[in-house]
Amino acid sequence: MDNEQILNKEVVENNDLNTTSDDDLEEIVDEISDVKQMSPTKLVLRRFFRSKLSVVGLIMIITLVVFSFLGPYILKLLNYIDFLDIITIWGENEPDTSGSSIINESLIKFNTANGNVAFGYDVYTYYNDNNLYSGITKVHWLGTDDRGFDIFTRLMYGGRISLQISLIVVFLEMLIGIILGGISGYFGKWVDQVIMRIVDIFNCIPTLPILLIASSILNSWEVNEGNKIYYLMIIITLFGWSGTARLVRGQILFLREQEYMIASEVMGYPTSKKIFGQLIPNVLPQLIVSATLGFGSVIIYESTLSYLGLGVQFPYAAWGTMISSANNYVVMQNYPLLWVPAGICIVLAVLGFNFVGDGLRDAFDPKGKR
Amino acid sequence: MFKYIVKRLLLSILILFGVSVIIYFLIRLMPSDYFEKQFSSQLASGAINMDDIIEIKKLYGLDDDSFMGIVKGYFSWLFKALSGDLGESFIYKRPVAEVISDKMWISFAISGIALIFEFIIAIPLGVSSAVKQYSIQDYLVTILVMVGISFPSFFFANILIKIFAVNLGWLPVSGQTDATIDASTISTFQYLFGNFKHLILPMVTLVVLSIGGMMRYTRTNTLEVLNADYIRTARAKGLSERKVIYKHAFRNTMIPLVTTFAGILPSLFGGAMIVEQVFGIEGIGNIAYNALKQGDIPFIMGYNMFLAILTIVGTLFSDIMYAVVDPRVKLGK
Repeated sequence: MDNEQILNKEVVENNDLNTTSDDDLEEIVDEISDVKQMSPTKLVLRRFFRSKLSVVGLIMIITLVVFSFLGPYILKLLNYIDFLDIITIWGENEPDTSGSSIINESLIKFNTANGNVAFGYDVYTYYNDNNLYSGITKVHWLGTDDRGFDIFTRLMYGGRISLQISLIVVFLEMLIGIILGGISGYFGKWVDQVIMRIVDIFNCIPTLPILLIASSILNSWEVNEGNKIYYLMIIITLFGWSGTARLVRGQILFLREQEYMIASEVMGYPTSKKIFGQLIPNVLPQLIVSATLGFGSVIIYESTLSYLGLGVQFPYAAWGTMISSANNYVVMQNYPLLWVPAGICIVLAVLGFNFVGDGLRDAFDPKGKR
Repeated sequence: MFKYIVKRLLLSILILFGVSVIIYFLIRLMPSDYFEKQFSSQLASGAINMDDIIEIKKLYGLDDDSFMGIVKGYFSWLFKALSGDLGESFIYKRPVAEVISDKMWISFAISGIALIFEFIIAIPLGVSSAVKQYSIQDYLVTILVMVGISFPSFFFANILIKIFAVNLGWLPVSGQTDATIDASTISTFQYLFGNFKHLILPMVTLVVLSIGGMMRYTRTNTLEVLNADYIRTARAKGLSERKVIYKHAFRNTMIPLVTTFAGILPSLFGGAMIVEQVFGIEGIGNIAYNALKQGDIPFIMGYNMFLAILTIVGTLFSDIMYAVVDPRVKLGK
């Protein structure tokens, strides 16, 4: 009895000393049991959304996807309630035919009749049926380009090309990578040898030169510009899957030695169940991270091809093609609207995927904090 | 170790063979009307006829575009290449190997200096970001370098040209020498450093675009090392934080950097195709781009094989170096 009393006393004293009230204690207990009950997916999502950068990245990507795929429709809808009269609907390749006159002046150096060097302004005006190089106006939010197309509209349609290509290419690369890497890692021996040597070969082929070669073959076949996007996807996939295969194989070699694989062996699971039920789900975290980062690099490859005139071309819009108008010195100097917004879009897209990929990597990291 | 290297080298031969087959077949599928274009004026004037062109193509093994013809062309290329003859560049009318070794050094100068700056900037940034993890500095640097790697090279190059060359007029827009200097009369040294301002913008582009990867890599490594037991030991025995980080941690963070060598080697000698093209620098990347555009088959073959060899050597070297600097790593699997 005495002991109990003393214990009770101690507890009371402790309560006095601790600032923790009962309510607080309950909350902590709740939180602990909450953490215990959280599924791994939920845990990863929670960690992901806690990082500000990954949320910013996600917002950037969603904004760009909405902008490119739904943008034209949203504008059309908004057009009905457009009281301020600031929306004009333009098609992807519908020139503004209101006509324009462009005054061009440039500093030139010339020799006078008596042999002296003099400077002067070369001023000339030319007229065009289309409204070219319009600045920012109510009708054209980002002006018009060298053909009189609305740049804002073309940015939306150009985004479709980049985002579509990156999505499909990454998906196909993952598919090939999982299948070949999985087979190679699981079966080992000569199968592994053969597949890994193929991976080595594709790994050693310089990516950019080979993409240029493949795209110029494509150009010589004169495929329909509208279908070219599909061919480009195939080409970029063909020379890009080897990294994923190597990743999957390495991961599976490691996982094969884990206890739960021995357990599933003992349970007598069929091979397919072992691969797709046990191994693939465990490779997925790494795969998701590398896929997310892969989106960015595919967008850069696609825009590089477009920039060099080997991607999807006129009359279709692509961000890379829009930047290539900066190759014209006059455009580069005087009309940054023609190429800077497209570049900013690419940077935003790649940056968004990089932020999300980075956030996912941290979120999946088992050593990371909760 | 020796056995491992020999095995790797033998495998490399197999890989190079595969690479050359794929590249050769793709190149032969390219529209290759180089000779038709080259001799179009002579053709029109009747100085030569189609038969002569076919005769010339036969010399290069390019006359037959059927599958068997390409196979034959490949083997004639292969046997020549094995005896050290990469053929003669169509555009330059000189042996491919000579053109490569000639144009390689300007690319090497640009990417070499850019690489030094990359190391000087990225490694301290990465280490300090890791030490002050989740601080404002960490976030700021991370965001900045991530923006850097998100730029397509041609866009960043064009922005630099627009700001520093066109608007401010500080640096030349493109090219490699001032137009007033006759390039043929000056030495290579003058050529490179007398015209250094032409190389500033390309170098800045390369540094900004590649700093992110290196910085992130250093940061991750440092974080890993800082969690290691020997760092806790160092702290426990009362060493100053300065000594812990710069003596005990820093050396160990450098180990995984050896692996980046695999990627550095091709980029050092192989040139930066897009950057050189935008800035109009006559480096190997730009030359290769022109060769690709004009269908200079021997040069494209030579260039791509050059890159493939650099990749293989780089990978092998980094694997060996990794085992040398980190005794925990065992080679030979």
